[in-house]
Amino acid sequence: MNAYFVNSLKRIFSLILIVSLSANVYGQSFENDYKPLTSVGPLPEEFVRTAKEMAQEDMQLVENEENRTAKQQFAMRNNYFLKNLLLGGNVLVNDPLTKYVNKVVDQLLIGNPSLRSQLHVYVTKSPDVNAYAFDKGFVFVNVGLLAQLENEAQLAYILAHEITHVMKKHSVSLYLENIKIDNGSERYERDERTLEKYRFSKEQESEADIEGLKMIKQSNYSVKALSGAFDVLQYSYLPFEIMDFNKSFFEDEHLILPDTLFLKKTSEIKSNDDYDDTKSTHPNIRKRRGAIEADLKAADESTRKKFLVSEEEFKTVRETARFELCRLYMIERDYVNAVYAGYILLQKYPNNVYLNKMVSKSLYNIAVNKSGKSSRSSSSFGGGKSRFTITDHEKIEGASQRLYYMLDQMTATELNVVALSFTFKAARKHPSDKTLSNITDSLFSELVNSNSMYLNNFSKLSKAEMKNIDTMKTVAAVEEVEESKYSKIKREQAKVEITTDENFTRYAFVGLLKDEDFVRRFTEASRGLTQKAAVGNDYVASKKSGSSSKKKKSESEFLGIDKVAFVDPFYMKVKNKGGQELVDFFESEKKEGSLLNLQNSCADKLNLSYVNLSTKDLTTSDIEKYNNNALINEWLTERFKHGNTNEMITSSEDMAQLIQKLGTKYIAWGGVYNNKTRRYHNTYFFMVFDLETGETKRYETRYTTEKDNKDLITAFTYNSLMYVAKSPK
Amino acid sequence: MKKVLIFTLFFQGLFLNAQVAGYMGKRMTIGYSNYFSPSFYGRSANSTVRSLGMNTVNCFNVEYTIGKRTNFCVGGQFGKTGFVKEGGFNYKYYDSTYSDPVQTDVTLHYLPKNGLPMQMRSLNFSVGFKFFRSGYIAPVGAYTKVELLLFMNRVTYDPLAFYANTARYEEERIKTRIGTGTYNFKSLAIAATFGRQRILFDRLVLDAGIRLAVSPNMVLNFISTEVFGDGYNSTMEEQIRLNSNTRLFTAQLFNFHLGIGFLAF
Repeated sequence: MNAYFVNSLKRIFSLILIVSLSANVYGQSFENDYKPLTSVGPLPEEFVRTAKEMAQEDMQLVENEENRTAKQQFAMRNNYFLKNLLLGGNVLVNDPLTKYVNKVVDQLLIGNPSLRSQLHVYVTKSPDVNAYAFDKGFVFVNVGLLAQLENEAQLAYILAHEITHVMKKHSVSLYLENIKIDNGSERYERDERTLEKYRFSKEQESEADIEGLKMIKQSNYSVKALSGAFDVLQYSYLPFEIMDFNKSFFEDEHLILPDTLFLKKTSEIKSNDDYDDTKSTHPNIRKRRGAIEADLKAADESTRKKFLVSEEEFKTVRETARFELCRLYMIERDYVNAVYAGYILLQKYPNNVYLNKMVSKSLYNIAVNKSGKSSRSSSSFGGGKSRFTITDHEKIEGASQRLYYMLDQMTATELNVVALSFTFKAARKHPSDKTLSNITDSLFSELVNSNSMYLNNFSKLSKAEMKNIDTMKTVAAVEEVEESKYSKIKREQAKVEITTDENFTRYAFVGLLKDEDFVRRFTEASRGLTQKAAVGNDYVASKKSGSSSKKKKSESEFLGIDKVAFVDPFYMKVKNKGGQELVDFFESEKKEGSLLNLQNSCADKLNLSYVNLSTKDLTTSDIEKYNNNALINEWLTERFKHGNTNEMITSSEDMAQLIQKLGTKYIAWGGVYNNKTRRYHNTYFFMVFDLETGETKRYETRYTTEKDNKDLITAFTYNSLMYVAKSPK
Repeated sequence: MKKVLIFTLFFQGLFLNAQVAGYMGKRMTIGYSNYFSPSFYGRSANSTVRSLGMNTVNCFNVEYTIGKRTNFCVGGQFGKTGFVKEGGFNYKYYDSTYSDPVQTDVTLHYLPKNGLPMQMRSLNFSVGFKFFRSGYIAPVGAYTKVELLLFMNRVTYDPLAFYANTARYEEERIKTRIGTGTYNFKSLAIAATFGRQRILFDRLVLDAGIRLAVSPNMVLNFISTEVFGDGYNSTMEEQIRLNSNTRLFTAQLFNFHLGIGFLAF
């Protein structure tokens, strides 16, 4: 009996374990949190082969074909870009989204296994509503597209369209046609050439639409559902959901946003599907829809379905894509869309800490840009736009227009107050989350240092309480013979504030000022004890001393860093042949490897410890390395977009673990761009970032009119790393 | 002692700020260069016949990277050539064959039995800086070198090999010893070199460029003596100095150079 009982218990525990493990693998609950997408499992073969290897294989295939030289040039180019895409970190491997999309492809090509075996389908972390294909059989679907779809059949049709591009080898045909058009100088005028290229591209797109439909017809997917696929494309510029933005999202009992900040009416959605497509690679939506409309109507739907894989899985995938989209908007510096996406999802999942963080970070970054006072004070960095500006609300259609208008109309202080109120309340709801706590501190610091707002600028009493006091004081003033000049001024000012919606910020913290923690942190910020905090760790950046002496400046260039992580270097060699600039892809790839080796040997000479975050020597089991690299690339992309502003980096939160793994918080990235026209133009760059703070520790560019000889690049690299390794004397 | 102290302090000051990269941490280069220029006017050390030739100067140099784009350079050069004053030397001749000696201005021509022109050996020392162009890191790349040269010339000739311009026969040869037969001169020059330096195998330094050198005191002497001065009042030593300097000036004015060296440490 006992043994039976024990065995039964074992079985129950095993079942619970299996269920919980499969829940982790196949999906995640959105109620409380969201873990960003990462790749899992072994890396496919194409990730570990060099572009040269892949290109040489393709080049051999066209050895005896017509236009051999052009096709071989295309093979080099195509493989180089494909390889860069695969290793850039945006491509997801074996994640739930990619798995699902592959299942849809399986269903789509159920009758054509040979074609299926030639395809490699991946999901890419991009907010753009798009999918694209490479002739080699690679199809990529963006997260932005998955977030917008209504059903599986729509995805199947978009995939069918892309697979047609692969089957028909449209990329190489377009490349050859473009060369033909460029060389046919007598036949075409300059503008005509461009239009001719567009015309050819449109022909290919129409063909892909029609052939894609045939593919769908051969499968069991619903044909009628395809019309919606064009709606997805037509309205792709709108957020994934239309939901009225309610100002109560930011409000509480005391923080009441004035109506003047809200548009009474938002502009209607007036997307035109019959736009001028003369200078477009794709025919306009009306033409595309029209070309397949008859077939859609005539289709027999009796055995066809909108969902063949699983409706439930589709919805989970779409929801995951929407969560992921919030991050991607942040990375793309599209903060208003990030807030709006967060707003929509928070209606459904109000306790989700990830969504709260996304909204808080976005508000913080907009506030920082509005105040215009915060900028990174270290080495000036030229990348990216210097300041983020909110898109003019008049250019926005639909419900999100209200949010654009509100955030645009708010002053820096108002936005800071709203962001602080939202973040503090979110942090109170999720007390174990360090990021929300850090953002709160940063917002306090911003309020004091950039917007000069202190505790005494906020009323502890509500408007109603103030009105009472005011009445009592008026009575008292009548009774008293003398009232001081200053109390009269203050009383008059308070009267204005009470009676109007202006200066709503004065009463914004009435509730929060009753919270001891709020008052303590505000006081600390006012005393200068709180500086801007980095996201996701306890690091508190010290205020930079603004020394102007030349000696001090040169000394500060030495960083005295013990260990760095080298990111895959950039190398591009361009040759000029017959007036055309051609990238030497093979040489560029080879030199990328050489530059990393050079960085390593220079670091050795300087006794600088290092770790390579390179993807050059990946093996199929290096998924962790691949994910680390993807995380760094994402971080760098976002960091570059921020330029010199002091915005928070979304992925910094995930950096703490990586920093621990790498054993350093500093990453170094360098590269060379060498272009030979009449003379050589050589640009070398090198930069070091602090992953915790986002600070650019070193940024260096060198331009010379010289060939990229080894000695030249060695001298540059050693010099750059010397400044990293050596301490100021 | 005071000079030594100042010199020491100056160079110590240069190397104090030595936290510079050099090439893979190596900053000292030891090398040899050959400076050469076509000689259109002068003679060689072995012939008085004017012909197109090549002036060459051998140079040993030591360089040290003191800044991100700056090398401090010292060098020693050695050159050998000959010179001939085509119009002859001006000389105040005292003819003692008469009871009452007469002083006459004569032009003397140097015509030694061995047929060689006056010999000039030049040992030069140079101190300068190589400034690498913007974008480069010393010691690699294009540079402009500015240097100060100290020429130490020794002119040797046969003092009994002069003929007066009026001499028609051997017996009319002036028997008087003219000058000492050896003169040592010093002069300064400033030079600018435009060159490019490369490093092969992380050790071997290749250097090539063009140098322009001007000796200001030579130019001033030439103007004061030949343009405004009375040539007959010049001493023989002055005339030889002027001519040796002129020869040197033409040789140094424009030079190509090719050099090879190694990165020591």
